[in-house]
Amino acid sequence: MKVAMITPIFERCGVARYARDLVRAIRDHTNVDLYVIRHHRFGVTDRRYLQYLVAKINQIDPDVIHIQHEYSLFKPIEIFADFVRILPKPVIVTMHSIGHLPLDSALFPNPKVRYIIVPNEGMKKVARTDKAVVVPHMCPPIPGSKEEARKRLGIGDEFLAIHVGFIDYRKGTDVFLKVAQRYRDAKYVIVGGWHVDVPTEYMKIIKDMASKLGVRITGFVPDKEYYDWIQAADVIIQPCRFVSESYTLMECLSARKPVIVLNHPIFENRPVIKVRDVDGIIDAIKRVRRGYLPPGIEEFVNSRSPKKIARIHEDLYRRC
Amino acid sequence: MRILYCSDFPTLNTGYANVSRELVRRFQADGHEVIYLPIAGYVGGAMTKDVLGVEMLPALMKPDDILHWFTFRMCDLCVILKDPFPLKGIETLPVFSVFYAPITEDPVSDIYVKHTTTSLYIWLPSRYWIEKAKEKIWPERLRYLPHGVQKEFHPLDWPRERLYASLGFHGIDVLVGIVSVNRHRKLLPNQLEGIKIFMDNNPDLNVGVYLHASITPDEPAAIHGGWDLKKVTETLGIDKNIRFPEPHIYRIGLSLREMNVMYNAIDCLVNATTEGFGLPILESQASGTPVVTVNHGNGPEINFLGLNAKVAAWDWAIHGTRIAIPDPYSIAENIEKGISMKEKYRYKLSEEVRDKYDWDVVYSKYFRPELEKLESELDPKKIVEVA
Repeated sequence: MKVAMITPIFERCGVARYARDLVRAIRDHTNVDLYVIRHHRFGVTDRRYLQYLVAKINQIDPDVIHIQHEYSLFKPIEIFADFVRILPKPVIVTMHSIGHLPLDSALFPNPKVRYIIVPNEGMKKVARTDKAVVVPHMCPPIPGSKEEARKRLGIGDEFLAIHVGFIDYRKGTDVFLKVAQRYRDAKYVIVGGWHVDVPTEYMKIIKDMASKLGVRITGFVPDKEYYDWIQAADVIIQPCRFVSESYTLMECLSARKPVIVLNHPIFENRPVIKVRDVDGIIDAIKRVRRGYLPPGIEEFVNSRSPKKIARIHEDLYRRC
Repeated sequence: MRILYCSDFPTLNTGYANVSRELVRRFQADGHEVIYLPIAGYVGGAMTKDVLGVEMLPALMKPDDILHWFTFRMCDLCVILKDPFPLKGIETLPVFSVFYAPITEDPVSDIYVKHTTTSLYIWLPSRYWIEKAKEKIWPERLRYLPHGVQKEFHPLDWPRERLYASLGFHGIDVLVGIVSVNRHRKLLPNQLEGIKIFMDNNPDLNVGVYLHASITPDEPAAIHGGWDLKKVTETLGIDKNIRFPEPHIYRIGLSLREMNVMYNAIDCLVNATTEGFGLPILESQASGTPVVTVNHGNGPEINFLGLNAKVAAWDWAIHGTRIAIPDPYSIAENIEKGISMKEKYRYKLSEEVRDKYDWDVVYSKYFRPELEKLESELDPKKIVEVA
C-alpha cells in the first residue's frame, strides 16, 4: 500500500508539526509505504504549481493520496477544490479547519474524495457529510524531563507559566498578558512567534505589552527547545478565543501538564481546567500551585497513542 | 536534485558570476542537474549544455519566470545567488528556494527580510552578518556558507619592477591598490583619503596607486551612485600617482592569472568598506598581498593579518541602514603595517588563506553537506526517513 502525503513538513506551522509526528508514527507502526510530497506553505498557489504537485504524485504512482489541509495552505482558498479535481488517485483529506462553505461544498461531493478526516465530533457536525471520519489528534511522546529541561533553559525554581503557539488574536495571546499583568507571582513566557519573519501588527502590540510586563517572547523555536519549554512549565495557559482543535493541547497533556483553557465546547470531556475569564485563569493558577492536576490525563494520553492513530490511518488507506 | 540556479550570467565580470562559475560545476560534479536561469547579463535565447557546460535558459524578465521554469522543468530546489532587492514579489512564489544573498547594510533592511521570508534557508557567507540577521530573521533559517578562492591566486616570484611594469608603473618604491566597483557603497573617495595620508606621512617614498575600477560610475549610476574618479583624485592631489586599467579591458574583465599578477604587483590592497563578503580581500591575501579592511561587516572576519581601520562615522541610506566610513588616518597606519609585513609573511599568508578558503575545501565542508540536508528535506522518501 503506497501512500503519497501532501503536506508542509518542516515549516513554522502547526500542521507541519502535526504532519511530522504523524509521518513518524505511520513509518514506525504500520506497513504503509509512505512518501511525503512537500507543499509550499507560503506561496500564492499558482495553477502551474498545482500541475507540478500532480507530476510529483505521478512519479510516485501511489494507491492513495492523503492531503493535510488547512484553509491558509492553499491561496486562494477555493483553488484547493480545483486541485483535488485533477488528482489521479483516491484522496483522503485531513481538515485542520472546517466551515468555509464555498470550498467545503465544492470539495466534499467530489467522488475522488473517499474520506474527510476531522479531529473531533464538533468538526464532524460542521462537515455534514457521510465521508467525515473522526480520527483524533495523537498525543505524541514529549522527550525529556522537567529537571533536564529547566537546566537547559536556565530556569531556576520559580513557578513557570507559559503560553504556547503562534502570536495571534485567535489564540488569546493578549489574554495571557492580562493574566501576567494581574497576577505577578509567577514567571511568564510566551513560547511562539509567527510563520514568517515579517511580523503582524498584532505581534507588534504584543511585543510592546510583553516588554512592559517583563514577559519573555521566545519567538518560534526548534522542536527540541519547544519540548523543553513544555516540560519545564508548571502550568500552560491557552486562552484561545477561536479553536476547532488544538494539537498543542495534545502535546501538553502528553507531558502530563495542567492546561488552563477558556470554556469552549471542544474541551468538554478533556482533562483540562476550563475557566470563563482572566479571574478564572488566576484562580486556576492558584489551584495548580496547591498541587491540583486535572484527573484522567493518563487515560486520555493512552487512548491517543501514536500507534493507535497510525493504525487508524492505515485502515482508512486500505479501505480506499 | 534538479537545481534551478539563478544568478548573473556566468561570463559576467561580477562577484556573483565569479562564485557561480565555481559552484555550478561542483554541483554538477556531485551529480546534481543544474539548469541556469540568468538574472543579469544575458538578453534572450537559450543555450545547450555544450556551450558553457550547463543548460542556460533565456534570461529572467520578471520574478515570475522563476516559478515558470521551476515548475515547467520539475526542479527540486531553486538556488538564488543575488541580492533580493530587485526581485519584488518573489516571496509570493511557491518555489522551494534558498537565497544566497550577502547582506551589506546594518541593520538588515526590511526589504531584505520581506523578499527572503518564504525561502527555505538564507545562505550567508559571513558569520558577522548571520549574527546581525538574527535580530530580524529566525536563526534556524540562517546557514553559513562562505565563498572561496581559486587556486590561480598564489604568490609569484617575479622581480618587483616586472610586477609594477605589468600595471604600467615604473620607478616607484611601493604600490597601493584598490579593486572595486565604482558605486557609492564602496566609499572610494574616503579610501583614497587614507592613501593620500599614507603618502603625506611618507614623503620620501614614491608611491604608486593602482585603482582597478571604472573611472566613471558603474551603471546604473542613478541607482548605485559613484564618482568621476579622475576628478576625485585631482581634488586629492594624487592624480599624478594614479593609474586606472584601460576602460575597455576593465569592462571585459581580467583572467584569473592576470588578476593574480595584479594582486602580486600591489604591495598593500585597500578594501576599507562594509562588505557582505569581499572577494578581493580573499584573492589578494591568497596572492600573498596584505589587505586593509574596515572594522565593520565581513572584512575583519577574513582579514588574516588583522589590518582593520577604525570606523570614523556612518554613511546612512534613506531607509535607515548604514555602512561604515573608514578613518583615513587609521587606513594610512594600516597600509604602513601591511607593506612592512608583506615580504615576510606573503607565503604564510597565502597558505593560511588557501588552506581555509580554497574552493574545493569550502565546497566539501559547507556546500556538499548543505545540499545533502536539503535533499533529505525535499525528496519524498528521504523526508519520511528524517521526519
